[in-house]
Amino acid sequence: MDSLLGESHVPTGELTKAPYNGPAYVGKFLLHSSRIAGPGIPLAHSPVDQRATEFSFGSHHRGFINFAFVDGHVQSVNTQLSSRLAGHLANRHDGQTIGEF
Amino acid sequence: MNNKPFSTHYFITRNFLATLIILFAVCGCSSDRIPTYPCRGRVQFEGGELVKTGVIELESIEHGTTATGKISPDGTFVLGTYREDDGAVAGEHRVIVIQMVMNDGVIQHTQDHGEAVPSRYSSYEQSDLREKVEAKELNDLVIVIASE
Repeated sequence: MDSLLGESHVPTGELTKAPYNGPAYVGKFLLHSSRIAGPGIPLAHSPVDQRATEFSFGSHHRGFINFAFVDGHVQSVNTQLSSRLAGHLANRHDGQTIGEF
Repeated sequence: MNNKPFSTHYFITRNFLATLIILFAVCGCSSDRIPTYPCRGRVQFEGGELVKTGVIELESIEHGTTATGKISPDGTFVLGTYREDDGAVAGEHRVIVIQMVMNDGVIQHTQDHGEAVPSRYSSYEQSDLREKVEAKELNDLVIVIASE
């Protein structure tokens, strides 16, 4: 089961500002609308998580990030999810299956 | 007054109990955490030159948990697993170092990124880096990157 959409990490004070929270309809700028998950790109624990990058998924709901999955269900994912599992969720053609998490 | 269909008191009690149960369920999340031990360190190339940017991540071979740290321009990092700086779980870890620099014209790159870390270090399958985290007050790690 892969995830399709997820909340973006937007640090405190960066709301409505590029690049973290720029206009998503400007497709030229990837970070306005896109995020990456996988080894080395942790899910942000909070808006003030210094380990997170501009590529990270994150949420202002501390400890959880809402993701929409390809079957249409929406799930709150714990930010403690390992980066390897998060990477499998974000990649639709890695051939990996994921059990309960 | 005795012909009231239901008692308000009963409802308050039931809601209170439900709230308590939900609170316990939420608090229960933290109990499955594995103890972590503070870790800091430095990432450098074989020749001694420092790695100036990127992210370092350690994956516990035993538990599968990941500890991550941002590499500062002075090559140092602090690892965090459940919080930003709570360290890593004890035991052997696979180590990766990732550098991503995106130039889409939005982020102004004015800093010196230094020498690039070879891309094989960004994959757990290809990186041969290993580190052992010990159950002690402070782990001081030195990660050495072989240049290509």
